[in-house]
Amino acid sequence: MFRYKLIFILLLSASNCFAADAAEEVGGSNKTENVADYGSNNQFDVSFGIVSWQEQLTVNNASNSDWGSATFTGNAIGLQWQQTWSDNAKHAGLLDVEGMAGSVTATDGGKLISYQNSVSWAGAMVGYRYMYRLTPLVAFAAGPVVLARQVSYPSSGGISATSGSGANYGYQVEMRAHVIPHLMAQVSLGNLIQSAGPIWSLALSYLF
Amino acid sequence: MLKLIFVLLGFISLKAYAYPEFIAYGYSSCMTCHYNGQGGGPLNDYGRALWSAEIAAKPFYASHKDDEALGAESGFLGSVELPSWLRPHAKLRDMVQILNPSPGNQIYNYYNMQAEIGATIPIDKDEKYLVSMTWGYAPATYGIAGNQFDRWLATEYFFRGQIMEGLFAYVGLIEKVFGIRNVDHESLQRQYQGFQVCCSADGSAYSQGVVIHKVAEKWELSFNGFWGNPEEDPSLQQKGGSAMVEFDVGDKKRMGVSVMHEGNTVKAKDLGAVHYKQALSKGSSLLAEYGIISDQPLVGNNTIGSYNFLELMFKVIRGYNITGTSERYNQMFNPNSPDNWRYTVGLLAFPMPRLEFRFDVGTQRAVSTASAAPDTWFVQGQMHVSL
Repeated sequence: MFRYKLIFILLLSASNCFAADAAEEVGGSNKTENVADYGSNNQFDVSFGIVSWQEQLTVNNASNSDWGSATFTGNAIGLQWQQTWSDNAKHAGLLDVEGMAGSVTATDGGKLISYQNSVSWAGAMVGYRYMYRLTPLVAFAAGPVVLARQVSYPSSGGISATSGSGANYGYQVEMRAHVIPHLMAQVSLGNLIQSAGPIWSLALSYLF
Repeated sequence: MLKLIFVLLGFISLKAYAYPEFIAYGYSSCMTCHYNGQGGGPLNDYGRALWSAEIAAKPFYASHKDDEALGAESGFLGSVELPSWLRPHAKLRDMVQILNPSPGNQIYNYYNMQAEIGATIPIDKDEKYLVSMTWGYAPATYGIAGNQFDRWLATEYFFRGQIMEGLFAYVGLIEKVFGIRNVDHESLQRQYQGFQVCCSADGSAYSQGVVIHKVAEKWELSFNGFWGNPEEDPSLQQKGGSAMVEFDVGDKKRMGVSVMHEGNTVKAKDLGAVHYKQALSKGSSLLAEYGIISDQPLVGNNTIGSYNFLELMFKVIRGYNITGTSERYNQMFNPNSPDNWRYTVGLLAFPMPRLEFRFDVGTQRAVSTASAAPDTWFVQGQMHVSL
């Protein structure tokens, strides 16, 4: 819970630190037409945020199989590299590598077997997105992601459980906004394909 | 989860159509565009002209016209000038929603969210004093037993008087003052604050009351005392008060703090929130709010929980915007109490003056250590016509 509040409070506390850049653009200046105002066209950023997705849970005992849901939640620390594709930096590629860890709650949704557990997980996610900057301050990004995670559900009373796939793939769309120069808010929503469901994340990143 | 969504949709707010996102155009105060200085309700002449000349895309039938001409045609009857003492308005807003849009599981819903007519009558030419009245159709589903409404009723009416420079008083049936008036009627933020249209123990968005509103260049301060919506059963009418202060923390960056206490014979609520609005670039904005909600039902346990709301709106081209929201609500500060998350990506379009389309795709998830339920996907579209 604390991490959610921390991100929000960071967003709010950033409010006193705004440089004039954003305001000038609101005022109609053309000064901000080139993203180079915000650093080099090929730049790194480090992100910290929360991530969550769902997988389909399968539980088995000696005679039956049942199904349910596993909700993964955790923190993600990522390294992102932007490489611009055009002189004005409107088009760019974004390589995103993230390390993640958290907890998963698994519950069977059927009636044949009763199973509930909450355990830790760890994983990594790699994504490559096409990014379009509407202005130097705001951008969309979309592209495929590959996710690998390790989780082990304890067996009890002859009941075993598995969920989704250790390696999964899908897509994400993302909105990125400079809250202050060098600090960016990211909201993304997507879907994992293999026996899984929506994946979303909320992050702040610092651009070097 | 589906039950939860149905319950929430049963109380879709009819109103609250302010756009705090328009701080992105440099308008940090709602007073600029609305007769109600807190936002929502009928637009004043400037707000109408702004919508036509700056917010909405140039209409296909008038692509040769400049913005000034479009603004001049933004009156209720277009360019026909009405007497200064009469400013009519009419609105229609409908929504179509698909829950779980994957094949085989779809649930289709249609909602008439807003059908209303009204007029604002400025008593003097400077609009220091005015009266605004709105009548709307309330569908039967808004009633407690399903039969209370299905009729037209007064949805908003107030007298506004300017006491002195920058100081306004409102008396009437008016929206309560608290936090960001988020345009998404189903957001967790608005749902759990208790600002429903009617007949909920949590209270209604609209209540008879008094608002005192001080507007300065870099700050605003509001006090609201209220005593219930007369359309509700007396036992549900929330009585209480709220206060909100907003202040600039930079150019086109505004922060606010709100508090509210309200109670009826069924439940009392205390709310506190801090919110933030920022222009990211022209037409693009960030809205954020963190709030604490304390529910004290007459029967059952008291709870105290919190919510987050974050919205990014990016202007793609004039009249067309992409929105993304991330929200969380938890009824209790307790690790075992589920976090309810809601994520949406959407299009907010004003393809021409007087017309708005919204299209949203989203997912809602309950996160807890005790159980995991499948997400609910939803797709919804809205059409809003405003004369």
